[in-house]
Amino acid sequence: MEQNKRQRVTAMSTIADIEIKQINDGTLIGKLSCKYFEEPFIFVDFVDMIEMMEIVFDTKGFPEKQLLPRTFGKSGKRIKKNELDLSKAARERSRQGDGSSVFQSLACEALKEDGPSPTHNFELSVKFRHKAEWQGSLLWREKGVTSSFASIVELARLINEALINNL
Amino acid sequence: MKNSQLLETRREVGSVKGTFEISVKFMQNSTWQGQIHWVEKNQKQNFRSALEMLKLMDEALNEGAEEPVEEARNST
Repeated sequence: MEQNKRQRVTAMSTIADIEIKQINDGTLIGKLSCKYFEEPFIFVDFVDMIEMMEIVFDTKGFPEKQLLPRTFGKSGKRIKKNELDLSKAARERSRQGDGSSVFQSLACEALKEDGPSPTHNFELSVKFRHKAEWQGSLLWREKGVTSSFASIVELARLINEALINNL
Repeated sequence: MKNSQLLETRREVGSVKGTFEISVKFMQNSTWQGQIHWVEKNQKQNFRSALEMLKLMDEALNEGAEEPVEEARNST
């Protein structure tokens, strides 16, 4: 009976915690944690973080995407539901193709370093993937403020506003 | 010190680049709609959102990243 029990994936299970910092030339680095990763995913720009979350959503099939993404001619790689081991995928992407954990440890050290810009913590909850975009809410933990967003453009603006206000 | 090492590592690994022309025609649903032109392959595709545009760029850059790193260094 236990083995046949299907684990439900809900909006609560795809919530991610983000720790983000702005370094040197304005590059964002951070850690992304969610219940499917054994260790946090280290990202070095906003796009990295978005791509990893897309992999999580596609693998878990939640939030379900409304539209199939367009590609350049050839059909792109599509992730099937539950196809990937998300922890392994996060570890491999963190290493950025150099095959080692050098990048990961450098990013972790950079996150710990004291500098002019502090680290910010957010809770990202993507509830829908309508119209080829994300819709959900972002909680800025330091201020206890939750804002909704209807696209990643709005999400980027919210994060940027938080980083600018705290510099 | 660690921050510059980090950026340098990333530049070396991601040294293969791509060139895109982006034409944003509409701004509906709090996002962008338009067309992206991948210059190296002369391919165009419409996008319905900024997310879709980023995914198209990522797909193009990953295809370009199959080129060996030594050749990429020599070409830049």
